[in-house]
Amino acid sequence: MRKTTKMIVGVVAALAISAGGVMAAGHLNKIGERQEAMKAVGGGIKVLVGMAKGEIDFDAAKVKKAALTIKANLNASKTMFPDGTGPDSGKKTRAMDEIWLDTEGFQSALKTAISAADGMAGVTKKAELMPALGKLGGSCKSCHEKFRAPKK
Amino acid sequence: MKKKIATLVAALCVFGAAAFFFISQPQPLDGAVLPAHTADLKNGEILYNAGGCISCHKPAKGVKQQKLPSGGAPLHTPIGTFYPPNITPDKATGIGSWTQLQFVNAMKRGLSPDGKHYFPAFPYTSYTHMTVGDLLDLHAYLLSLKAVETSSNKQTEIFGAPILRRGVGAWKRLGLNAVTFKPDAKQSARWNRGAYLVSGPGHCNECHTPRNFAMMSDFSKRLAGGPHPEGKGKVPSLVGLIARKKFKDIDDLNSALRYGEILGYEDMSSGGMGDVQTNMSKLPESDTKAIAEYILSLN
Repeated sequence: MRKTTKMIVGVVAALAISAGGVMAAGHLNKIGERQEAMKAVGGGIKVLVGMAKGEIDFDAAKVKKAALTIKANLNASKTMFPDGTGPDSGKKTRAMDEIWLDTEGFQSALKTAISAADGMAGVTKKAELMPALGKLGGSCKSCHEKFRAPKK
Repeated sequence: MKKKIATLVAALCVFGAAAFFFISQPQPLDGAVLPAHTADLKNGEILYNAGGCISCHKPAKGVKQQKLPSGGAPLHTPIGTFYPPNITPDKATGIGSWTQLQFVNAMKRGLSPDGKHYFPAFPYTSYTHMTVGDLLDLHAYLLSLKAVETSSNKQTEIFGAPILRRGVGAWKRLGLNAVTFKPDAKQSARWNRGAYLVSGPGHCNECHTPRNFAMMSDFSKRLAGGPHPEGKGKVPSLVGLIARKKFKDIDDLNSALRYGEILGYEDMSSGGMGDVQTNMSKLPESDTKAIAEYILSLN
């Protein structure tokens, strides 16, 4: 009886520890996920900037595709900043404490960026591209100014 | 014997205090440095933007006029918190009653109108390289702004500030190289304009040049990057930008300075650079190109 109890306790403890471990790992995976999401955003921006600078021919379909990629990834990133994934996580991240100190401000900055991406998706003429990029890139800037630390 | 030692120690203390008093003495410029000058407000505005005065002399939260440099927003540094003062022309709480010479002494010598040392968080170590003519234009431009009265000028929160403040005078002996920029005849006019904007009004060295143990810029590593002055990550090096494939050419860096993340230059926002870039975007394009030419020549 004693042996069985000990075993049960042992198994439960082991399960609890590994579950905790998996949860923590899942948590920290968010850092990788959001970095991928931001890379995808960057990829979309690159296409738009190329067109704005005249290095790529203007193509409304490509603008829309890039804008929607950006929007989808920004939407997804809303939930990619759970507690415990900031600078104190010990992982490599440029996310600043301000994200968690001013969650509302951070989420509203994301919202601004998402609506700017929406605006970009509606661009049909080259003349509309630069103003839309001003809003979209401007939203990247104002969020990064407050919430993204310089490279380590 | 004991008495002799005591006398010696006392003498050394007096000598030390006298030496400190002498070394830390303010060294203002006199009126002879002021040329006959007609103010050019447009040039003053360029220097105001090149210096990014508004970034530090930012209005405190809740002040209605957010676009004027009425100061009061906290500036956090490793040695404590500063509240940069009001530099709008309000007579009581701003610089409205300063003379030209007082303004030039603040910018070139780091001295307040009553002759006290400013802490070098105010980057006079760079502004000292500006020409007096440019400083007078900047002064005139500031006086042309709308005066904002600020309710209270919060005091610097630094441990031992009064003694340290006097100590700044001693620090200046080595840390303040008070010479006006001299153009390099071997370089183009545009390069020299860029070098002037970068080392003088733009005060790029304050963050992009690392500091030594005495918190003085280490010019053997000019603009080579280093730890961030507010303690968050690193300030990037501006040396060898083309060789390191950070920028293609002058036009590329010029676009980065003018547009920043609007054109996808993603490293132009963090760590305070976003404000710098916003201010740069207000400069004439000839000036951002000059800055780009100078920066890209650093190897």
